[in-house]
Amino acid sequence: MTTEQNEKTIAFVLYPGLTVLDLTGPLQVLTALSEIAPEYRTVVVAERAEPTDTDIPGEMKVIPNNTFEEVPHPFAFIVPGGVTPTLRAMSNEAIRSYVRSAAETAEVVGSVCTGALILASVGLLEGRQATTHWAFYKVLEQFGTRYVRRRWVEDGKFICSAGVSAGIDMALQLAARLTDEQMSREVQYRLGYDPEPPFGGIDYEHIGGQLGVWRAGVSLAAPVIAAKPRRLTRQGR
Amino acid sequence: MPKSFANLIKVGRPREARETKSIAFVAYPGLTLLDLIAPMTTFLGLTRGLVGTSHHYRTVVVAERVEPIGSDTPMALIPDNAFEEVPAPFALIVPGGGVSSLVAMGNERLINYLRFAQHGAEIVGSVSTGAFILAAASLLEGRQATTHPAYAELLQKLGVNYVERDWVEDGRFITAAGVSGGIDMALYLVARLKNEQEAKNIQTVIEYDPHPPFGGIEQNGGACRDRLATMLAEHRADLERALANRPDLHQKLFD
Repeated sequence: MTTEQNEKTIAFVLYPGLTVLDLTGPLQVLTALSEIAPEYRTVVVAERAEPTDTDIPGEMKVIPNNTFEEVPHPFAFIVPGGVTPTLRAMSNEAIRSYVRSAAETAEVVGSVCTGALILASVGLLEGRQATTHWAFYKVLEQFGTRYVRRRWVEDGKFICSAGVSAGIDMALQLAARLTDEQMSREVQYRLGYDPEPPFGGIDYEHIGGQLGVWRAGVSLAAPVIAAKPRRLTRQGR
Repeated sequence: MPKSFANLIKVGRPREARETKSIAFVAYPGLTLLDLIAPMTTFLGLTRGLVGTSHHYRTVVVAERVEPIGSDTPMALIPDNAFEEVPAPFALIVPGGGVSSLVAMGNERLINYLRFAQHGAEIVGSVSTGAFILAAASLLEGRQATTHPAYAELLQKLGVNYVERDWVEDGRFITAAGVSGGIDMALYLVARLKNEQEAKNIQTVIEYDPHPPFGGIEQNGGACRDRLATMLAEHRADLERALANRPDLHQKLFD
């Protein structure tokens, strides 16, 4: 066990094929926080501490620095999302058991994008409000979770963000919760996070074309996607 | 008949369409991981549509060697290729890394790669303090460029015309101020290299509808200068060592 008593560990859960920006956004924010608030420490945990593929095509790999066993009781942990690999992770025994047991003692449990589906798939978000990527909200609802379309949603110790880049905004919010607004602003300054999207924001009321078809397909498949993880939860696995 | 059919196929598949253009992200020890991952993910709008992979563009991470490189977070990365494997990229982008970027200015192999690879590159870019590495390769002298606001005055000492903007384009050189500038710049490039609809699509897929909880950054010149002075004082010895082989840079930055 690497966790020291007076140190609050914030663990990021890594698994093959994840959307690496989901993890890197809040990792960067909270690592910058740990530089000015040294009671916090960030780690990247995975089933095995070995080079791991991400969603980026090519040979690039990322390397976690700890295994799940080495950080059993983090102060906080954040689960990033992805597409097919995340839906697969919802039924992965190692990830399920880590998320479930770490959540028992963690004071903050977070997700980015479809990472919320992993939290929901072990029953952590039942009866709670949460958010996820806009294309996957029907899958979240399969687990008895109330989907709210917001940048991030807090409910008790759970904090979930919308898709991918929303994890950066959520992490700045979390940084303020863990310390104060001034510290969060300092982190934002250090990263140079001052967004000006060249074509404006997203018009959520008019997501059409291929993207609309994508959401419709995921929504139709939602009961099938949720079936196996729900069965595992019923079996206590 | 077979001949004309073959001709038809040739016409239908011009040579250019089969050539994959590489957008090379240059990695070095201590880099800011998000400065690399965020624009690279945005370029999925060029490299991977919802309906399959494009063969027109690919992103690659290049570094001195294909082995683990530490970042400024606990996560390390292994690049796709070594420098010599990507000698003629279509685009080159250098992420930031704070003091590690300044240290990288003294990395001869990195600077030599940039000097060589930039010749054929149609786009040469940087995120945050990555601009210092471009400047160390003598690529930004007399040009308009931007960097992290805390480093603005330092960049000017290298003969760069600093502009306080999200991102700045000057000819084939494009520089972004910080991590969000890197995303904004990448969205602009997706629109330019493909079209605005693809840029908006990838923006929607990665839900880049930013709402920083406390609003934008408040620029404060005085505080920026203080921070930079403190930072340089703390790392003076490291920088002296790292730039021992570049007295020209050392003199401009510190004398």
